[in-house]
Amino acid sequence: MPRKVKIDDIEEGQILAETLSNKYDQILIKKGTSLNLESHIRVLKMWGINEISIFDDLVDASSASVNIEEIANIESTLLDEIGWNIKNQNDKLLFDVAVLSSIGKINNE
Amino acid sequence: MNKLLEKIENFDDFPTLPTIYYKLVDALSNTSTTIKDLSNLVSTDIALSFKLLKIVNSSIYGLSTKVNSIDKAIFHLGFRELKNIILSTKIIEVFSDINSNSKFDLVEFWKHSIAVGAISRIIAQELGQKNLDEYLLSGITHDIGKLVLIKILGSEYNVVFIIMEKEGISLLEAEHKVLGITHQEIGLRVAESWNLDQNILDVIRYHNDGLVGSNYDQLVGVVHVANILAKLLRLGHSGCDKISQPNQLLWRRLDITKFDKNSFYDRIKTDYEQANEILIIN
Repeated sequence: MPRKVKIDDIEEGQILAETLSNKYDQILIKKGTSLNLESHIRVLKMWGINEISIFDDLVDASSASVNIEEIANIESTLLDEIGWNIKNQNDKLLFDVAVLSSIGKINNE
Repeated sequence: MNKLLEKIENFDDFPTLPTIYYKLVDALSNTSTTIKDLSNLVSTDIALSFKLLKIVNSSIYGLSTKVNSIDKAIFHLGFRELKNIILSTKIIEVFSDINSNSKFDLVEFWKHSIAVGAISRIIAQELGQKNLDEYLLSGITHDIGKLVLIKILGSEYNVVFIIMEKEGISLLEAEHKVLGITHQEIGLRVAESWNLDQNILDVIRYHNDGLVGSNYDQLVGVVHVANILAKLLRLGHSGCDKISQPNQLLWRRLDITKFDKNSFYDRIKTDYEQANEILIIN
């Protein structure tokens, strides 16, 4: 899920979860961009943007072009199909790779 | 004894591996064998030579230079890996006469097995293992018992699938119930008749459990996990839809949490596609 962060708290490599525009509706940075601490933050400061919405989870990040409800849907469908609970980080990794694959299939359609 | 089990027990036409494989095993066990000897032997089988070069030059190996001769391919692979790759290709050929039917598709079966092999190989590489093609071979052989049963029983084997679906039980339970023998047991018999290494026998026997009795074995553990992941990713089809949870005891010894999921997934996709293209006979 995306979350709001103040620009001073942005970390390198986080993924922008919204498309940012200036007051003239010109696009500054597109949704899905991997944030660069120097150049992007300069743009944000220039236009007085103090807070942005980011993805910090890899699954969320790689699926920036799929919307949040779709990911939640994919995850719950997959959980129903397998019929077992994720008990630890190793289970989670396998599950996340399967989610990536389902997202990939949607994006290719 | 039920009729199907009788048929299985009386079956005496088990598939055999081609003579080139045994010639190769002989050559490998001889300490004076040179790369040239092996390369001469491999070169007598054009299809095999072709596949070998394709595999070594694929992204699965990720070599920086192009390998354009069998000598060089063997040099890169080493003797043990050469044997594993040749076995992988030959085992797929040996079962090419099996007919698909409404419940079982041979190409989908191989896609699944190749996926398990490719994923196992990637996991092993990430874990810093050597003999990576033993992992590929393990994926390819893990379910051969199913093919043997289908070879013997033909579409009569489908009763197992039907009972499995109807009663919501596992494939192994359904096999026990309908046949009185499982694909693991029959796969083991065939692999023993082929004199395959103990490691591979363990994979065939224990990949569903993930542990060898109560002991950890990396090859068996990795194949167990790769089998589950191949099913989660729907790469091919093993004949059984159920995706079981990884054996939780395994995670005490096998840790894949440090893997980067994006690059792991990307690698699975490319290696799987390449391995399929090279290994599956259409």
